[in-house]
Amino acid sequence: MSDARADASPAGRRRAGRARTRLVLGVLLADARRHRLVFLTTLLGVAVGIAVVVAIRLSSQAALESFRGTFVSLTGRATHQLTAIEPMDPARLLELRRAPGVLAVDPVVAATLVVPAASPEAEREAAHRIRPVLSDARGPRALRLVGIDPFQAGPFLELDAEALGEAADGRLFERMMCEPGLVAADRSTLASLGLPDGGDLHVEGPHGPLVLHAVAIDEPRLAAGNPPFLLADIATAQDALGLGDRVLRYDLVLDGDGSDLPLRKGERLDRPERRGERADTMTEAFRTNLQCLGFLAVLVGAFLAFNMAQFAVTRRRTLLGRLRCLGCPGRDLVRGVLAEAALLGVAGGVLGVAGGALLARGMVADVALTVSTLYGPTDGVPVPHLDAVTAAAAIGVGVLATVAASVLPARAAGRVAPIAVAQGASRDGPAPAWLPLLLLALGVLSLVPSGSAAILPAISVLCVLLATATAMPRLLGFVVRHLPRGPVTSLAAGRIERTLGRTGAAAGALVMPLAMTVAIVVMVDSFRAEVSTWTDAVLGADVYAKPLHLELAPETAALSPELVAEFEALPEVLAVDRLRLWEDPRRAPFLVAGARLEMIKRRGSLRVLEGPPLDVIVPRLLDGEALVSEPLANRRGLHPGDTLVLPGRDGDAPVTVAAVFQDFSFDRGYVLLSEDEFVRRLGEIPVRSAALLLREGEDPAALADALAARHPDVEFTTVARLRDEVMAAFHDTFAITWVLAGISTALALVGIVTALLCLHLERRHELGVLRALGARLSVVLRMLAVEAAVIMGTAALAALPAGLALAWILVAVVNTRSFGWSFPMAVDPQALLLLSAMALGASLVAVAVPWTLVRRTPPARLLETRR
Amino acid sequence: MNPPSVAAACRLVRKVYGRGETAAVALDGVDVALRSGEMVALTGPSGSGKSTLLHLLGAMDVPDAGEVEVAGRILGALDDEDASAFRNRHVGFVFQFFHLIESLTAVENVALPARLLGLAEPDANARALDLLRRVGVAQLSERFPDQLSGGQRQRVAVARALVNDPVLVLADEPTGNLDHAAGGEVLELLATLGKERDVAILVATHDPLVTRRADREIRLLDGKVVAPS
Repeated sequence: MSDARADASPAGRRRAGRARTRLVLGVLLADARRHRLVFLTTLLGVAVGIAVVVAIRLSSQAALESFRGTFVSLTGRATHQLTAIEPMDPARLLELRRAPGVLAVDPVVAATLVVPAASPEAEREAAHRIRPVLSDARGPRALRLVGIDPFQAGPFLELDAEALGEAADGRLFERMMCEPGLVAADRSTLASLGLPDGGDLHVEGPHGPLVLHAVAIDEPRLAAGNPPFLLADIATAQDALGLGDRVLRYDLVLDGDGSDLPLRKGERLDRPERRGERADTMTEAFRTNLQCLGFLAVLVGAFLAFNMAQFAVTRRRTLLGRLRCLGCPGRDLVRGVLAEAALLGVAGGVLGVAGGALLARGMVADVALTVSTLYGPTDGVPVPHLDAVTAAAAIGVGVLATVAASVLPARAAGRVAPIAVAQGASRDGPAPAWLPLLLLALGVLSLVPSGSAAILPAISVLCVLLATATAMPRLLGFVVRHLPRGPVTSLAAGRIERTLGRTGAAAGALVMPLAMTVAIVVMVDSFRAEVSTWTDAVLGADVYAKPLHLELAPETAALSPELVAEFEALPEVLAVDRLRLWEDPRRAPFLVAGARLEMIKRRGSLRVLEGPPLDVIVPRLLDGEALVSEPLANRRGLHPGDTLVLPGRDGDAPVTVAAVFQDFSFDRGYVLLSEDEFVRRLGEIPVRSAALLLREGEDPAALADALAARHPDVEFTTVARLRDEVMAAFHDTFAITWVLAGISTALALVGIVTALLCLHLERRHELGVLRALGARLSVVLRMLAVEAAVIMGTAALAALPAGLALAWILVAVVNTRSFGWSFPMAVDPQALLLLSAMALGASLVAVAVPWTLVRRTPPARLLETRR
Repeated sequence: MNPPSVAAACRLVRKVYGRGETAAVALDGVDVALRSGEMVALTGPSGSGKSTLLHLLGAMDVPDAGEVEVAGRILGALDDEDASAFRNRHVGFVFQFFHLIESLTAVENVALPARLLGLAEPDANARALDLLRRVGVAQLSERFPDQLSGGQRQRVAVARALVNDPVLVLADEPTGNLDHAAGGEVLELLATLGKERDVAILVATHDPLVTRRADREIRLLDGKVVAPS
């Protein structure tokens, strides 16, 4: 027999070590099979944690891609895009073609059209939502019309040649040029609209209803955009959008970086992919925040894994001792335990990936709602897709979490003495006292650099959470040492004290979501209170009017000058404030608005955070200065008197900041100019919305109804309803936050119940002894209740200050840095009630499970478990 | 002097575990009586029914047939609440693996049944200390079980079994986990204290030392009482 002992070379020793590790792993797995319940619960904990992360990643990816899709149009092989504030001169085509370094040019006209809802009710229902973005089959739908010049577009389009050859009898481009109103769409888009190949497509254009003739092409890439694309000849698109012969942009293939391309005043040259990058930058804070919440679930899962690993090592002391007796070195036990943890991580990761993919389908609607409320329209509910990178990363996270969580227990396993064969379960101690302090210090230090938008505050949040969680064993120890001593409390306290490491880890797993829930409740409540006060202050008009499809087609939806004139002529109306908005993320990461300032002048509807009084501000605005919203001011470090460069049709030009005002409507921030200044800088951009100020005693609701009856394509809202809509949108913003906090808490509850169940299984012979000594079931119940109350109560007590500290980080740091909003922190007793209810619920579950087991097990059976 | 009264008795007790083909008869028509103050060795090979008999006499299980009577009470008729109270008041246990509560000190362990009975802490502790003194480990009263030797732990367990002045002490291999000397001392204690307090003691054992020290022997084989070997 060529056994390993004979080979004393380093390689031989390594081989022998590996063989022993495999042997240990086999023994441990056989033991795990015998204790399936514990193993499966741990597996479930890890899997749920991973599933949450995967679900968050997939659903947010899908929702953000959908949002991004509205950003990035059919750019094909274009290396650059040339844009201007206003539609561009067609004569630029010839100039560009002759310019040095230009290999190809394609004039493009692209804009969003709206397919009206199947029924007027659905139309109204969708319009009543402040952001009717998740349209269903019954609601209005958006389509992206892209007009191309078939003679020029060749180098740009990446359409399938075979599909092009088959569409419209092989004459697609020819028919597009010859038949006005002909558009091509992917067959699936037409099917979703209920249209046959060659059917008439009724859409709302910027100047009223249009009928287009739609032919099908088998090109799924046209349907992959969001909204889906309609391909048309440029002349058809120009007609549909009322552009005359002007174009919206030129797509270019340049040989070089385009720095030598001569630009006209107000023009801008961009690389198309940068548009996507900007969309990513805009949503970075959202993604980071969401991922942090996802990692909270993994942290909870890792704590469960730690708890279970520690429990397993303690439970297996005799087994490990026997292996040591048989000559197994401690390091092989460490490797064996870590290998088992890695297997658990892989299995949990695989299950988690599968579960996460399913969960993502359920969560994506909530995520999309939040994304659209925060950033803008997404069309329909996006479908999440699992990719190999996400799957591999998730399994990696699972392995990392379980292995990391098992390091300390594995080391403890390696130190088990052979004499442990004769001993039972032993005491386990809390984490070192310096660990929570170190984490807390790290958390505080992470807040010091003020530059980072989201990552460092997120690290700070995680550090505070971990510090609280790792402090739990010592806190529990402190509490049990100070419990009043009675027979029942002594027993309960003793049981906790002897297993502080494990019980503390379970309580640590619980304290994290509890603290996070407190933090989120406090943050959201504080935010809600401030937004409510803000809406009361700034909604100074009585009736608001906006185009019905403003959210679906923001670039083309507008109120006609005739309609605004009609509002001004109404006898009930005192004044009309009208808002023009300019938004182009390629040119500026913020919005520019122009208003008549009637609401500010007549009703004082502005909350100035920094700057002179309103009666000083208004004349300055009329003189060409600007108001800057708080998010923009925070991001750019702007104060009254500073200057900010604004894009304009004649090129970029600076503007002086008159004041900083409070605004919660755009986290990107916006600049408010007087209407005259806006038009001077950006041109006659159509009126996006109007605010009607009524004379004393007029009924806003009656006027809104009367106007709605006359103008079905405009949505009229009273201030009361608008306030409700703002608060509804506020609620939507946090839709996913609540889902994630709920999942983490549920996971922690599973963990704490499992942990208590494991403790119970481990120590139930003690209950057998108690029962043998004559303890009634009621005594056992009281003991279990005291145990649960001590663990949950301590967790709740620790969660409160930790939650308030986290709330402060969220309110004062994360919100300010990520979104630019600031608001005072207000602690609502609701948070305390919620915390108490959660702790009580957890206690009840934690008592119910072991109690049921004890009640059903005869004392004699309980006694037998020790052997 | 009054003749010793019957502390506990089993009459034609039968106990079967499982059903159908897997049914195993643990006790089959067992008829025994234990008198106050006597120490009886319960012997027999593993699986002969010793533990089952202890569980029945300790009100931790009920027979399928026959009657178990301890301190004048028929145990089969007790519900869980009454059975618990009965065990606490009338029965003491000593186990092979001591089964002390590891989170309690020696004195707290001994006082525990008294506190469960409703005694105030000082009274229970006083009674416990008295017994610890009696079993020779009073100086270790504040130590936790893992700070005691096996023999010391078993002495604490003996004190705990006697703290509520039971009529019956059931000992399951009380010397099985002790060395010869410690085992002998614990046995001596049990016998002496049993006599002193007029307690019937039934000791399930494989240890010949116990059999020799006991007043008599009950031998079980395949669930039936047989003549001692």
